[in-house]
Amino acid sequence: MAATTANPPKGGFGYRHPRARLAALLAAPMTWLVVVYLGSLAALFLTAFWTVDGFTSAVVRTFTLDNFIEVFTTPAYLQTMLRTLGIAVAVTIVCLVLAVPVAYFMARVARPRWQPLLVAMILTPLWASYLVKVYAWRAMLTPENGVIAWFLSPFGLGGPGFGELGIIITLTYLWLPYMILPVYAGFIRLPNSMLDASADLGAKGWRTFRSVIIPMIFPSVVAGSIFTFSLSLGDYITAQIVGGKVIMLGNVVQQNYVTNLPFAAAFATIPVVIVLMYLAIVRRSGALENL
Amino acid sequence: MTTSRGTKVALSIFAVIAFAFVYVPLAVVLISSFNAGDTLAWPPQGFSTQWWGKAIDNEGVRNAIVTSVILGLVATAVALLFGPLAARSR
Repeated sequence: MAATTANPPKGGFGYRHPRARLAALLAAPMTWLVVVYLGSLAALFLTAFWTVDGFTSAVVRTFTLDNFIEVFTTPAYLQTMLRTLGIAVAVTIVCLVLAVPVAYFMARVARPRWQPLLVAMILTPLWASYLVKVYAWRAMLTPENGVIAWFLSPFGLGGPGFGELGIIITLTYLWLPYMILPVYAGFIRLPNSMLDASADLGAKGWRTFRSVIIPMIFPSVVAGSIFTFSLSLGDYITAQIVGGKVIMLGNVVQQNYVTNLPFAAAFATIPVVIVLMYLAIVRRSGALENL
Repeated sequence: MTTSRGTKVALSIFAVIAFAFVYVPLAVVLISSFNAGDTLAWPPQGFSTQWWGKAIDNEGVRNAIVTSVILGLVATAVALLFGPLAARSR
């Protein structure tokens, strides 16, 4: 026994220097995170406080709050901001209303051997190009000869056409899988024993749903809403293709970033701040552990 | 499991509608690719494979596919390198 403890096993350099091993492991991801990701966000934030030469559109590096003042005092910009926020909230709610029953069906009603197929069917559209899906909705929504208008015309109805409703439908379509998957995972994790206990204590289906299922899957729902909300908030291509005359936050950024980069940066800071505020609010729900 | 039969039927119908919502627009794209007309109008004006022929004959399209495949492979390789390291170092 004494002989073995006198000669401890010899490890490599990393084994003898745990801190060096940790540093080597962390170096690449930390460089990526700090320099590329946080660095570009910091550059965005810094640029928002600069201004441009009115004649040449060259960026002038003097500190000013004018960009933010312009964003918050121009009615058209405020309107765009509120509209974008409204669209993002609406998309999140519609995704939620669609995703909860579908996820419940997938996790608890469908036969277990069908589950992988159903998950694959939800995942497959993510493989299709974003632009193909948006143009698919352009073909669906076109007022005169779109698929929806064609389908509804025998009933004397028109389609939703291009505009806010079209944007909401298209964004719901694009982000629905991001809501279904976490909610599905939440339903899969829900222990049957809890539902049995609820039934044993005399709760009917609706009462069990309200008092047991909803609190248990709430973090998953919030996790999904982070995706649907933040992805909708930053989107601008959908508004260009199916929005008609309606513009969103990202369109204002896109219209300005060549001629007035600091103003575009100030405008682009707003969704980042809104998403950070949203993350701060939902952090307490435990949703961030469910992503 | 306490889900009643009626609830199960209702959920199944809802799920079928939701899956239709997911797949109908993709089907519209696929059907439109065989459209004989030259606008994205519904209903299609007859069957034709001219758009598929034009896409395959177009050198820009072929180059774009090759570029996409290369980018996808490189991005996957980078993500495979950094992702496990980031997960390991927590």
